[in-house]
Amino acid sequence: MSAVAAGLDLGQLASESERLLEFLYVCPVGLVETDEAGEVSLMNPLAARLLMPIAAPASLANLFAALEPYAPDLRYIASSFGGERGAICENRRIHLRQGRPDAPEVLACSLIKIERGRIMAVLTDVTEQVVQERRLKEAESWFSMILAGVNDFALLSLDATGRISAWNVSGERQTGYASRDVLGRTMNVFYFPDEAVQGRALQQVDLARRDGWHIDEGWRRRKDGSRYWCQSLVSALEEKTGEVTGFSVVLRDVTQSKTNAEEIRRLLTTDQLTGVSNRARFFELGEAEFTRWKRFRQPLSAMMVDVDHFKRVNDGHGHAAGDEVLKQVAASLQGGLRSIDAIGRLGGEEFAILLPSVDLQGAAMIAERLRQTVAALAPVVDGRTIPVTVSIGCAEIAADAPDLETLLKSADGALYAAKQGGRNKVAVVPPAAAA
Amino acid sequence: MDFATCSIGDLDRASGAMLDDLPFGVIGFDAAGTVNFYSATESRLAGLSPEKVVGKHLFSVVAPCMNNFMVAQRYEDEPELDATIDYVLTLRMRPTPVKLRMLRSASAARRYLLVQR
Repeated sequence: MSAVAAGLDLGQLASESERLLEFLYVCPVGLVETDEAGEVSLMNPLAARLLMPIAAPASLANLFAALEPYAPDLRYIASSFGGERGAICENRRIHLRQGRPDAPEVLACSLIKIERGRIMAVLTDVTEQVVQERRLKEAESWFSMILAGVNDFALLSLDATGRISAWNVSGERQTGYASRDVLGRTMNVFYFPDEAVQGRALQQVDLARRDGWHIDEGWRRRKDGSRYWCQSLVSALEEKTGEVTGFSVVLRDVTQSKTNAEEIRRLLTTDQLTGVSNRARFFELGEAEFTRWKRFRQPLSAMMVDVDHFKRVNDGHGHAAGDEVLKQVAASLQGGLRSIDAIGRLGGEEFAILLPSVDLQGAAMIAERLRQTVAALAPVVDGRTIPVTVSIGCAEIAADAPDLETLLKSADGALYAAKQGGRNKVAVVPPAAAA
Repeated sequence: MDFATCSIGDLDRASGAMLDDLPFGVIGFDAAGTVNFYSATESRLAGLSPEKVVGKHLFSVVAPCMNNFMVAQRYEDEPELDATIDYVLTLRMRPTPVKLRMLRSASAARRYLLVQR
């Protein structure tokens, strides 16, 4: 039916359409329509407002390109969606870390496939929500510990310096250690040797001293060498004067109930394509390392790793082959690291690595070994060998480093030098130049 | 009058009809952010008529896509502002690369935002 036949004159139609535009202009949620490759056909102003600060103007033409530096696996998630229609992902968290009080830190992104060639993306700023959730989660884990029955608990006390001063049968049941094994020692005794790098346990004690209490969880070791997933709560015992005289500690074995939580945690913290930490998780681990470094002043080094000529792999062999190459490179990098090292995928073909207790010389040696391993990899995809190499930049944290970003920037500078130097190379920041 | 070189004085002195005829969009607004001029060029490209826009708050109603630190915040923070940036507007929901020129002077009441496609 034409507009005229419907009894609407053109003026009315124009005013209706203007009203609709106005409605979309002020819509408080970002809406984007794209094709399967992320090419944008329609976008409302809020979407542009959220994306503009993080993307170059040219890349707003493609949603996946705009978000690539922060959610490099989004394109892969969309392209591997098999259904005719339906939700590709719902409220996927994208951590931007713009470090500005007035800019969003976390976006939630939902992708809905409407039909072949048409995807609707919904973007919302969930920065505030994420902060609240974190607080809630802490409180929740507190309560779940209290409510879940006292049998799971090991209770112990620490003196003011963090050494175990009281031990009982509950601790012996959980860890296998007798009093004589642990009295006078720090909680490092419950960590695997390679993770007890200068006081992970002591850091918990320090945080409890500062905040009154501290909750942590992770793998711990029993006397017989077996591991279990442990939630720990350290609370400070204070005199009326405010002086901390000791700590009481609750350890809880949650290995059994952990399976579900583990799966959710894995989804939230890993890069879906490569299995290494995603950006958000990497920076979370990085912040923890930075805090530890500030306290204990052990060396801390970083590497930035970039796959050489990755665009050629994608262009020459297709995105699927490119994805496979990335998977293999990531696995081989991870295979060459210790369990306490952190590796994250920061962008399309860029990985960052943090090496606690390793100085620049050590980092350069590790980087050279990783470079050689990757160069020898020669991944075979669909029967074709795709040679692949990486360039690596290394930096060690400077004594006056104000934040983690500064260290990563130095490593990034070295990476640039390695690229300029002809690729398939390792470059280090000379210590004097490290910021 | 030229997008890159015209001054706040030039814009203040020009008649509404002259500003309407410019090839780039001109938006004038006061210190509170209320739009008090919306040129015909801008109206045509954005699909909003001046009557709908004048009197409204620029960054919350008319152009929410610029309500961030790259545009709106600069008008707040910089008493003397003359900056040109590349930006993307979503005119009629189509992402469109534009150049924005932001103009504010302590000695003039009206602030200007010039939009060139």
